[in-house]
Order: sequence, then structure tokens, then C-alpha cells
Amino acid sequence: MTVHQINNAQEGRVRQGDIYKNIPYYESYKEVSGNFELSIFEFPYVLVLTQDCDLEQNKTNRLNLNTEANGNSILDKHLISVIVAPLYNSVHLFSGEHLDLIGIKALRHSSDQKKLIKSNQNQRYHFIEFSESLTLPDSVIDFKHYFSISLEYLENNPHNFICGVSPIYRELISQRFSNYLSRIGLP
Amino acid sequence: MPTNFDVTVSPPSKYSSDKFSKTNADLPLKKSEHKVEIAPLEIPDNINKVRKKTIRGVIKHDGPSDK
Repeated sequence: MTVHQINNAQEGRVRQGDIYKNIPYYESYKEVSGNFELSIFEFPYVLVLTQDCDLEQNKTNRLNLNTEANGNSILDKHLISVIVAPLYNSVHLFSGEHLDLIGIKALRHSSDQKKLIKSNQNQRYHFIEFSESLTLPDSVIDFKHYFSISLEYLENNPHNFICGVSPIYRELISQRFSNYLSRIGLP
Repeated sequence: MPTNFDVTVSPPSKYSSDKFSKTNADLPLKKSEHKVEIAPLEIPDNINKVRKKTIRGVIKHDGPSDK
């Protein structure tokens, strides 16, 4: 296990490795006879996986708009959404009960499986131990549960920002995520 | 409460009550007061779990009607 270094200050924009709380995922939207029904999962914590250079270019591009001769703005680096992955309380995940409130029973991990996850040897998960200055419990990122959220939502809810995982640690997480996503599943 | 008993125990293959001799067997039994501390149940902290909520409402169109 490695304690991940964090930054407590939000630095003017959304960054790779930022952790936000209470993030909605819009599961479904239905319209029936003039009525609508919107189903939302609310994730307690998520970590931003989008490349930091993309986030930076998006911000810079919006601040320094290039304008064509016809007056149209060029937003070539515009981001629609960012990739995030949920952070689960490790105790809940190990017991397989982290999704029980939405009706999903997950695998209960054995002690051997826990050791592999805690030492980041299971490519699906990334175990994060935070320094004592933060009240977050030991957490596990489940790369299989990644989803996207609009950048606008994160920017409009700065009070949901918890902290940012420091460089090197955040790159390690994103690299492990991309490795997991690009794995080749053999039959 | 007495703590030391002189007890003779027969070999395991010959369990029978008459093989036990208690030198202080005449002492009256006392009810002992045991404080049993039960460890609190591990109640999952539901605060940090994924939740689901559903919002229902009536659709209102602000724009001009198609008709």
C-alpha cells in the first residue's frame, strides 16, 4: 500500500486526479403520456481520469477564444465531458456490499483477493490510502465502473471538490485505467 | 469466590462422576456477577454507498405549440 499524496486546494479548473463527492450518473430518462421519470445514481466519490493536458487546453481555449474572419469562435479543444471512476469504501467493496443500496450484490473478496487489491496487483482495481489529514477512508477505484460526467457540472459545483491526487500518483492511476481498458480478453 | 479447587480427574476413557473428589465441595455456591461486554455489531456505513433516486414530474413545453 502506498499513501497517495494529495492537494487540498482547487486550482482554478478541473484537473486529472481530482476527487469530487456526490456525483450523479443519469441512468435513464423516460417520457410517458406527458410525464417524465429520471433515474439517477449518486456516487459518493469519483476521481477524474481525463488527461490533464486536455483539461488545461479546454480551459485555455475558452479563455483565449480564437475568432475567424466571419466572427465564429473556434473551440477546437472543447471538452463535452470528463471520464471519472467511482471510489468505493474499501470495507464495503471487500464485503461485496458497496452497491447493495441500488440492489446489486457484488463478490465478497477473500483475504488473498484483498491482498492483491491492496497491493494493486488486480488490474481492475486501484487501492488508495489517504494521508491522515483527510477524512476519506481507504478506498478502491473500480475501473470497470467508469462513466462520464459533463465538465459543466463539475465546474458549477466547486463545493463538491474534496481534494486532488498529486502528479505521478494520478498519472499512475490513469495509466492503470488505460491498461485495464485496453486489455485483450482472450477466450 | 473460590478459585482453587482440588480436582481429581480420571483418565479420559473412564469418565464418571464418582472419580471426582472435591475437597471444598461444601462451600456454598455463589452467584457471580459477570459483566459481559458485547462488541458492537458492525453496521455498514451506508453514508458512503451509491444511492439511487428517481425524479418524476410533468413535462411542460415552454416553446410555441406545434399545432
